[in-house]
Amino acid sequence: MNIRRSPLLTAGTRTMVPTLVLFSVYLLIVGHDVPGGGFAGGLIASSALLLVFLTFGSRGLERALPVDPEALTGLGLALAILAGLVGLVFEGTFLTYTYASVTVPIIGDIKVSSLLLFDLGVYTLVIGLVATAVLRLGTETS
Amino acid sequence: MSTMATLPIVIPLAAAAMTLIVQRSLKAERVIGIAASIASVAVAIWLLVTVDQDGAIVVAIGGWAAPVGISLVADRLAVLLLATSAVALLAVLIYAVSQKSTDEELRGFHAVYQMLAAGVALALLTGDLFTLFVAFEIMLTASYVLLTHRAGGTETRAALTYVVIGLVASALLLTAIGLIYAVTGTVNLADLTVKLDAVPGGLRAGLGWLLFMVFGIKAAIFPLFFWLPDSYPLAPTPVTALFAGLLTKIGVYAIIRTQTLLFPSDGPVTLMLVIAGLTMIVGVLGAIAQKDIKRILSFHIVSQIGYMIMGLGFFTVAGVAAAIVFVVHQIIVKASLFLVGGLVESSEGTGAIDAVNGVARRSPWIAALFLPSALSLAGFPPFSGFVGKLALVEAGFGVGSWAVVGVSLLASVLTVFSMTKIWGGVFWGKPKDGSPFPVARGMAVATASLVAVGLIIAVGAQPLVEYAERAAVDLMAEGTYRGLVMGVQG
Repeated sequence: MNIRRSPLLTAGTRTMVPTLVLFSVYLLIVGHDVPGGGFAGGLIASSALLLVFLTFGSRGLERALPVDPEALTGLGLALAILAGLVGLVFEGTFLTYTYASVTVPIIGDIKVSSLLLFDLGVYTLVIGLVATAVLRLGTETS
Repeated sequence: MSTMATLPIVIPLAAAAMTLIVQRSLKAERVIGIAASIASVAVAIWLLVTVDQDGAIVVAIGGWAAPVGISLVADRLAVLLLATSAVALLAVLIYAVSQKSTDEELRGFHAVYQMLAAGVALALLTGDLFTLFVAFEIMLTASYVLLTHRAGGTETRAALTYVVIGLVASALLLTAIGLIYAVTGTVNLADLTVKLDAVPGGLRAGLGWLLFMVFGIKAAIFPLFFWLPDSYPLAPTPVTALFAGLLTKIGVYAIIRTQTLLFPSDGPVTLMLVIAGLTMIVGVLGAIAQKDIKRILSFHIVSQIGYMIMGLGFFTVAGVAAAIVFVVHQIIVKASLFLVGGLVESSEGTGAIDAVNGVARRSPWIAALFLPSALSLAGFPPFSGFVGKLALVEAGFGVGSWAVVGVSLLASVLTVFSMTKIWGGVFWGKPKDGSPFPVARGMAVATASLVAVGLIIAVGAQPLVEYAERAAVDLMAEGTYRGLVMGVQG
């Protein structure tokens, strides 16, 4: 695609994308305690991808996300199911959450919940889905 | 135990995820899809046997007990339909893979197919009205993809009708659920059985009919059926067979479940019987007017839905049991008839009655597959359709609803008439010159297996009827469902 790039958009994207991605990861990690979560985080990360697409076109998006977005969708679904199975194995029911405390030097105790795995699945799935949609709808067909 | 009841949903979901990951290789997708479908059949049959012996299995998903959390309830009715639909899903998938064109043309076919299977399983197992809505959405979204991918002028127009009707029905269903929640404060089916008792009679009836209408759109009852014969015939054969066998029947299941559980009646419901009669007659008259195998069969879907609604409308154990038997029979027979129709299309190049002649001479084996299914649909003894219709007629006599029973018999005669139209037009007559196109062996095997399952149902009619009666007793006994679901912790 041949787009005349606005310098303002390019500069804006270069600053916004890392911020958005960082914020999305923050939402993903805190999601099971405070407002946030995989879906909200995934959408924010997708909006970063959307910015990349608007600025650098589908080539740019493919460079920024160098994996097959549809496989990413499948991976996300698989992770979410895996989180459900963790509950099945440790607590006896599908999707029941379980957690373990991990001691990390300097930071201290961190609770790792299987919800985080579920959220990570949703996060991945949302990114994969939005990227698929953008690439399918936004790429010129021959 | 509780693990097994979640597997019918988890297996297809996991398979969908894996097919998406490996989608560079169609072969791997096919292996995963078929393996998942075989596993689903095995699990469903295990559930069928276990639930009948040891009673229903209830799972509180995520460890949240009802009415707060979402329960999965694998009772007799749910697992019977689960097993039947799993068999149909497997046969249709083998047909689709053997036909090759379906999954070669549609990228991600296997993922969508497994999502649809997951939606069907969730709809059957859920004990929660809102989750039922979600299950319908999963099913419908998958069906939109399957129906619209072969885009062309006519196809897109017909698919648009289907999608718009689907969306309107979903919006209405959501509204109905919202209203029920506003009135009672719960969407858990078991909880609703009690909470609805406090609701004034008129309001309760209104909610009941609203739900009946919404699921009626999905089940294609009169007068809400017109979208079906327009859209179904245009999809690829395996997709049509799947829709015909499963989707409308899940609508009927939802009607049976919600009406018996939430809006029980002491005697026959006249309005329901009138709707059932009209659905039967209008559907079959529409079928007679058609000139294409798939279109004829599509109108028959509508007509046969009427029989199921009739069984429910009697509101007796015998009536509901007969409706259940009929649903099982229809899932298998309808899917196999469409697959046979697809075989005719594959070997002759078209399914138009005027253009095809003498298939009985040209490909006798296709005729041999068509005949038992067609006779079964029309209700000839000793086929499974006869078993279902006999049970329905007996149930009708039991409550003295002579009129609707008469209508159903008339509709049966007309069904025979339209089947002879296919038989006379397609299978008899002077064969045209040239040999038929070759048909992939897997397509024939898949169709033959499904026809064989139909015959097994006919032979094993007694156990099926008894099973359906036990399921109907569960449904009609007040408080059974509530007793099952409430208090289950994980």
